Amino acid sequence: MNRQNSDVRDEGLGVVRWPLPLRAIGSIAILFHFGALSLTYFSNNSLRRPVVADRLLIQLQPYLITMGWYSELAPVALVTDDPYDRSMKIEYTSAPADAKWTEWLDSARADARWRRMVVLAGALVANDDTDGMGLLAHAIVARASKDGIAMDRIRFASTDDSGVEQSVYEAKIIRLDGKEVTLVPSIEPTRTVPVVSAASPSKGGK
Amino acid sequence: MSMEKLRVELLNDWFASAKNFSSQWDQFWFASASTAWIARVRVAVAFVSVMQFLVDGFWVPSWLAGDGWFDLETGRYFIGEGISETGSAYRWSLLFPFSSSWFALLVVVVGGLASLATMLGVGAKLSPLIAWACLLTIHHRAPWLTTPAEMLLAAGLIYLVIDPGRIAWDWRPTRHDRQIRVSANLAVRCIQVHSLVWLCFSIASMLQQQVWWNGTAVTMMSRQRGGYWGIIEGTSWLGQGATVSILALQFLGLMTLPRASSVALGYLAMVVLAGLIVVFNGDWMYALAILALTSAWVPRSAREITSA
Repeated sequence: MNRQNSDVRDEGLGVVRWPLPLRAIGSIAILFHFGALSLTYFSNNSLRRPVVADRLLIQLQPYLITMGWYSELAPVALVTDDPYDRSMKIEYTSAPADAKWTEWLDSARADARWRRMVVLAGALVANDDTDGMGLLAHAIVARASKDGIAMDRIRFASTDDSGVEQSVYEAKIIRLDGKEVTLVPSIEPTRTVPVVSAASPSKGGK
Repeated sequence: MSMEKLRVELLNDWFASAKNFSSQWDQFWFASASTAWIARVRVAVAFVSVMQFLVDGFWVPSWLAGDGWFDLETGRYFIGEGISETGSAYRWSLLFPFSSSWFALLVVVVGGLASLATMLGVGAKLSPLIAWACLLTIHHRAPWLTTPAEMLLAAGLIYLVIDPGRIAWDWRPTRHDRQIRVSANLAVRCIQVHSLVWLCFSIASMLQQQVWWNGTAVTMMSRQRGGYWGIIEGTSWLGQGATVSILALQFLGLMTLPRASSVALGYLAMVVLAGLIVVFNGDWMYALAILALTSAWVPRSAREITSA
């Protein structure tokens, strides 16, 4: 007999069994795992989940998050009619005098990653998370700048059900020392996005 | 019949059905199966994983580097770092401490090679474990950007760690087809059940959305996603029919895959579903991941499974 594992038998199709204690432990692990997994997927379906589900998810975070089973707002459905799950355009102007927006990205024609990013932006807008939205826009502006795209203003625009394009976020870009940039949102001109650090954010992105 | 006798009979019935359930549970989870069965599933999952890392090579370095499109500051904010109950402490991505684009590329390359090794059956349990770790390193750095395909693949890879089966190029039927392990069966069962749980909650998720009830979901997909059909009118037969078909195919899969007599029909439903996802949603990776995971249900020969 060529034994490679405690439960291996390679002479014919003989019956191989785990001992009862091992099966009992395995059964408990299976029930725990698929129970926790079902809870995660059930909770992903809706932000209107029961409070008990929320509490359980928090208790199970060490297992669910560490092992990668936990995925907030994971797109389990192919498409939803949630207000944030809409296509969006990211547009910019190159100079202060520019009145016309240049389309930089249309999520309807972009790859899966940009579409996920746009869903995130939509969720931030829906939740009035201006800090998060500012950080997202700041990252895009900084990276675009590195790639040689000079932006003076940036905006995220979504199309509503009637086909009218609406600006959901707009900001003026200010260059501080040639490299660092900061954004001043058009809606709240007194707010800026921290350039160096966004430590201790007032709201969670989750 | 006295009440006492009735009570005894009911108790006996209850014990008999409990024993029957226990026996069926053991049969399902702890039967021994040929390692050839899980090996077939492993090749399918690992192939899609290789494809996924090839795709990742085009976005991970430019997005998840410290100065990427989703830079470090943004990444930390969106995992809720420093905020209680967000679970950010468990996000163990190496892309947080090592944020250069070269390191991001290294993660993708290592993940791709580990997936390839998994496909070939090299490295036993270590290969799927490394591939899974690389996939999760990317996932934990930006969980909001995770796609459904990546979620399914991560699941498939970690289940393969239980038992990856025999190596791919050893097709000799004499010895290895007779090699049976409980862990081989357990790995297949985990992938099977996971695919059903996914299908179940995918349907549940869709059915809470109005667009899946009024038949305009595919129209919405055609406007918002990168499908190949172009814009579809909401009232067209095509749009309405495709919406209902996507739901019906998932129901069909859920009902038929677990039954040996109808598993072929169930997998055919999954193939058609994958085709519709590609045509109307343009998501090749998701379609392939569904096919890979549900391939665990594909009809197998009598030699691939034995009884507990």
